[in-house]
Amino acid sequence: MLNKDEARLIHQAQRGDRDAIATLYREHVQAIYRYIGYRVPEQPAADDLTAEVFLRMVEGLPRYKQNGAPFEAWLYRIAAARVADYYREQSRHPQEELPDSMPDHTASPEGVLQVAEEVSDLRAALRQLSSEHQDILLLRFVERKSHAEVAALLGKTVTAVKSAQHRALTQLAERLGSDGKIRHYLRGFDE
Amino acid sequence: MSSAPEANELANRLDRVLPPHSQAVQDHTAGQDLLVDAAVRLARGPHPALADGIVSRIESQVLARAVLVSAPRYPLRRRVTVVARWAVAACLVLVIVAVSTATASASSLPGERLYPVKRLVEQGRLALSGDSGEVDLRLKFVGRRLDEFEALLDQGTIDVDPLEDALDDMHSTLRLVEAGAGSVDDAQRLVELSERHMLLAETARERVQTDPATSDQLLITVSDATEVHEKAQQLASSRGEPHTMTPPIPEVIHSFKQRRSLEKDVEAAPETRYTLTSPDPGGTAVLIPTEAPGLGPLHRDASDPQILVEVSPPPKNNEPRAPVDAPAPGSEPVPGDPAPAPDDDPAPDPEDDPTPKPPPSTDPAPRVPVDDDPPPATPPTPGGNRPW
Repeated sequence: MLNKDEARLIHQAQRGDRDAIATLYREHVQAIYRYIGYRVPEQPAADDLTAEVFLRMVEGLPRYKQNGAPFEAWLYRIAAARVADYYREQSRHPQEELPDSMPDHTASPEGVLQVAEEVSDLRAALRQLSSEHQDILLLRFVERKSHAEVAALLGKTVTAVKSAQHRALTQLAERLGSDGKIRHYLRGFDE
Repeated sequence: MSSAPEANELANRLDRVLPPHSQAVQDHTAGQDLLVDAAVRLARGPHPALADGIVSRIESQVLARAVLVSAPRYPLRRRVTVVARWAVAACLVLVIVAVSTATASASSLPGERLYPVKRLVEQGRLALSGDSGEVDLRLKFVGRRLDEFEALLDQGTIDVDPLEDALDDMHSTLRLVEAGAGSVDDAQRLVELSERHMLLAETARERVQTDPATSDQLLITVSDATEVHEKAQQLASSRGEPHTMTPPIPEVIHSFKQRRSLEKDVEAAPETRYTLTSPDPGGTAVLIPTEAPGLGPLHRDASDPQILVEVSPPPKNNEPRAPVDAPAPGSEPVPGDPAPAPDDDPAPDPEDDPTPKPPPSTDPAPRVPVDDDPPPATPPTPGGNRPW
């Protein structure tokens, strides 16, 4: 549900108020980047797609109608469309998938490599799920939205979200395996 | 395929271990529940994060794009070529051939059949105008939108669209004045129009307290109009005009409404001449008798920044009265008093102030009256003086 402050901010942004546009951008940019960062492996591509989302936000603002749905629902739809376009382009011009680029969080090189490998496995496993399942898991466990909020953002019922979440986690757990290593079921081999 | 009870049970377990709107992971032991383990692993991250430099870079791109995108809901002014302007003008000649239709549409209201014609004629006039002409036109159109809103309000209809269209024109005017296409008078007109906008919206809000959606829309327009008001005031004062001391919202509205009710008192007591002064910073509009039975005229002490209202003794029998410094009733350009729009339309512009308007006073001294009467105790909007 759109709160009054955000409704007022959107109204101002629609009239070209730069401060309002900047505020909307800053409030949502990291969440949208996290979503795209999990969906798309290459960091430069994730950066570009994130920029595209907000450029489209600015272009679409004059036509945006406040109908009570959360504003971020619109942003996530734009982001999902940009990700879908990205993969369509990839399928036309396939490139070798690069490993996820990771920031350095630990002191030792071995620690860095281990974290990087675990995260890479997790993200690779996540990307093997359907778009719908990825959306649900990212919104619920990365953005820590409630089931009701996830349902509102995706235009689904809470029951549907819970059922899809169950299936998504089952598949994710299978791909991760009991030792945490990714299993490529679709490719027919274990790593 | 998961069953509904299984899915619900899993959702409940996940809500306990990974509560929403929190980064915490609670009461979780790895290895006991593979599905929860997978969720916890995902929740723990680390998550992708955009570097500050890239955040700023993208922000610059977004704001640059925003400049190119037309923001108003009714983008009446676009970047058109000279050829396109003349093409629009030629089309308008054909439209304006139906003069009777255009004339009849001038007094139409939103929702009536000829209203689109009225708006089309306005768009045509804008397309043919230059920048300075556009400022004047847009200010006139703001007045019209407010008139339309008020007319509908009198009929018992609350339509927020005219207020929003008025805001579009006010914002456009503000940009033009900021760019130097408008004058100080235009900025002052904008101040007055925005105050009228706020008053009308607040009046309407009082009538729709059971309709939260419309009330919220009206509140948003009030907020926007407040912003326009402040910026227009800055423009009016920054160009050399003495700063008009207008109290902050909602005190202006209170004073404006108080002024309305006091004006009615003046009309009801013609035997006593009163002058209604400008609201002071505390928001009080003071009613001072300029002449009253048994009292002499009032004048100000120019050496003191605070205006002292001194009552000189009544003249003796044949003595002429001392010259009066206080202006005649209705002659002071009180902040918030909407200036009458130029009268070059077929439809007459309605006047808020029923009293005749003599030439404005040339007194340059700022008017700060004695704080005499307290502002109204009860604010007009529920929830306190500042609904926002």
